[in-house]
Amino acid sequence: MSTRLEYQLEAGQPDQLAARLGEIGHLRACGRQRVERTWFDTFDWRLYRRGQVLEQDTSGPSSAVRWRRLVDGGLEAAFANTVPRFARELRPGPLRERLLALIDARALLPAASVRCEQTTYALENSEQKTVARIRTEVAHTPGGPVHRLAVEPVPGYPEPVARVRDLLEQELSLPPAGEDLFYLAVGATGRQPGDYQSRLQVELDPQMAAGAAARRVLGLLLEKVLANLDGARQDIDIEFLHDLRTAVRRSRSALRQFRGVLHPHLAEHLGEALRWVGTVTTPVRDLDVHQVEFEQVWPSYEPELFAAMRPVGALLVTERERERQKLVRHLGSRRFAEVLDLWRRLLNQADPPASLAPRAGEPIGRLAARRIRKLHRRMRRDGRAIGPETPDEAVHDLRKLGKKLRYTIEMFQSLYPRQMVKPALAGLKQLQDCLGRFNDLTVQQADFRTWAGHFSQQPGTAGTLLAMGQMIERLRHEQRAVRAAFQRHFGDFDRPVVRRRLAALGRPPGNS
Amino acid sequence: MKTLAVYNIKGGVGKTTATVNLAYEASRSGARVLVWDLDPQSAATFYFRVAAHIEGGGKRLVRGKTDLAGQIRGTDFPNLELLPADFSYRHMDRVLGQGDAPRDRLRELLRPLAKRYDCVLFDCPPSISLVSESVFAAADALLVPLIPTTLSLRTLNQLSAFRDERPHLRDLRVLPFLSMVDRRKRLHRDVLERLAARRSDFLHTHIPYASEAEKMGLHRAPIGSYARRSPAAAAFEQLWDEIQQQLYEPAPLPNGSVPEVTTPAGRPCVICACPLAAGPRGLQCPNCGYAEEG
Repeated sequence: MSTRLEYQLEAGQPDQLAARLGEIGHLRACGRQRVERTWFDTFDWRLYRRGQVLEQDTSGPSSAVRWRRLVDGGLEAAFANTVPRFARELRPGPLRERLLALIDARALLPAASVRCEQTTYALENSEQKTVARIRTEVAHTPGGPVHRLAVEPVPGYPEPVARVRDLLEQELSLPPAGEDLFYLAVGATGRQPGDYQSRLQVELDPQMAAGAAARRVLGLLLEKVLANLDGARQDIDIEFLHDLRTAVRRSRSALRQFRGVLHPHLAEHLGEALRWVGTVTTPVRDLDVHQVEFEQVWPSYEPELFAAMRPVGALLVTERERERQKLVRHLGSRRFAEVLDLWRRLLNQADPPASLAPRAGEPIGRLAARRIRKLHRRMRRDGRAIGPETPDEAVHDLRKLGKKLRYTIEMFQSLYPRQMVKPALAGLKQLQDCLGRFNDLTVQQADFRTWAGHFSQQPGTAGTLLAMGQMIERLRHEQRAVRAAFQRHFGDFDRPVVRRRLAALGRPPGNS
Repeated sequence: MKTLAVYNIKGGVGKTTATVNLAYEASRSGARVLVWDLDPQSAATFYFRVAAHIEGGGKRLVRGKTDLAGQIRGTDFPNLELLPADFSYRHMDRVLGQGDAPRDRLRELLRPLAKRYDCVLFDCPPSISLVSESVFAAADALLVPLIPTTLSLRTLNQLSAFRDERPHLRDLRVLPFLSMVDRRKRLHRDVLERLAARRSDFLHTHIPYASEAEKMGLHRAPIGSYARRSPAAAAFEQLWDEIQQQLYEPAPLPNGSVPEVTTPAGRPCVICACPLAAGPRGLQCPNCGYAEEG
């Protein structure tokens, strides 16, 4: 793959350069234009994290998009269009597939913009074939104008590019461009690329007092909630609400694991308040999951079945809008503001007296190991008790327990060497996927029954009702298969090798 | 990576024009495209202003002795690259025949490029030969340009019969489309009408006979780059859209209201609903590792 060369220029230099480059080959001027350059990424920087950027140059009614790598400027794609809000809005094709694989359901949002004046040239050989593309530009950043020259090699023609490089570097001593314009532009907005990620990354030291560790964990989780609040209210994409809910669930789990560490009354109140947040945000999230299934999974069903289910898809849209309005009211309510106040009060409070929080001073390494050990033990005990005849409720309870164990390990992962944590979580993942799917199938069947009630009141919906019956039958069938697969997944989880990995986390870090 | 071959047993039906213009439209839509000009006449190579030359000739290339990636040339258009033709390709049939598993050879040669390109387009020489059989084995679909005349349409039947007789080509899709359509000619209008009524397997877009296409030799470039608003450029853009839809839209599952107990490849995993793929132990979920023992 070819690597783009980029150099700093001084004002007035481009015109002199054109004459010198003309000595290497025929330099054809392709155009001069003013463009508004905008960089796009998802809120959690999914492109940037893979070393890529999506930049759109708009000039009047026309715009062109380059999807390129930051490391070498190589093009992933170039297309004459505007950046779509969602990858799914693109027509079926390789671009859609590749972008979907990276950003999934996240929206592409403008991260920064600058005005540029650019002149493009094609360096041609004797066949008038382009052998290198050259661009000079002035970008008007908030820090002042930035003059640059970029040389984009054309694969298969290394000699002319080598001569251009010699001219620019040896004879004209042009300095390399330094930081990509993307960093300068984003930095000027007050954000930094990669400044948000969904994953909880909290740095703890094993000797740190549990009280301070609890405040650090809960402080980071509050930041996650606040970071996602506007996006969830404005419904920018479904992941804002999902991340907000995940932070709330993790916080509830953390409050339980930190019992005896925080002020008991405040912690209890916050736990209840967060349960309320979880409850009022559930309907929209459930409908989001259904809509994703409707858009991505249902079209692969038989055409007749999918067609009969279309009214359900329409119902999902109206139901979601109704629930979303309720959600916006909840997130803007006094009650929600009080939850955040309570959360901040808990974080700002010094350790309560030992009579109220006897474990506040305990080293977090010891407490973390004890919690993981107990949860793992319970998980094994409860899982082993589940047989083919055990009621489904026990399976659901085991799912919740598994989630607690995962959240606890993730919350405390910085206490352990990375090579211990990753395999331990991997040993849990497959079982959790199985339990999660089992739960989703239960919820979906219940929802289909609710919607069936809605359609049974309306005339002319017999086809839809029959299709829903088929869907419930499919879901039940799949649920039976998942339930049958449970024993195997639990067996894998309960293997000695996975047990040893999890048991190692149950020993205080540094004592293993 | 999807591999498409622009192919017809008959010559002079607009194969190279279709290859060059579809490749251009594909790259404009955001795909990373490679054109492999297999025709020793090297017309596609000429249109892209690239020298028709492979170091060491076609023989060393086919035998894997020349680095194939090193022979690729960028065109004047971003993300559109070309593996040029070479006059020695006229002996490719013989060269393929001298090696092991000649029908699999082109597919093998392309394998290392799977991550570099989204789409490879072969510009094929006419006639049915070992080269075309090797192309068929490498391709996901054949794009078959046909002039709306009886003789030309007859070649499609010959091609379909050839494919149907070979079980290893069962999954090869044949996507015919009409090319060089001149609505001033009564015969062309009649054929268009008949096809619309009787054949559902044809792509709906047809390419008009256009003077812009003839000017490709003068401009040495795809039509869309010098006559963006012409009907021919619009037709190729639309044709590429249609091809993309055929290749990338999910195909509906077979009929039956209750799913089977085992989960065939492509169906959702029973754990996480990701599509299952064939793995060493049978069908496996690439996400959660769930496996159906084979």
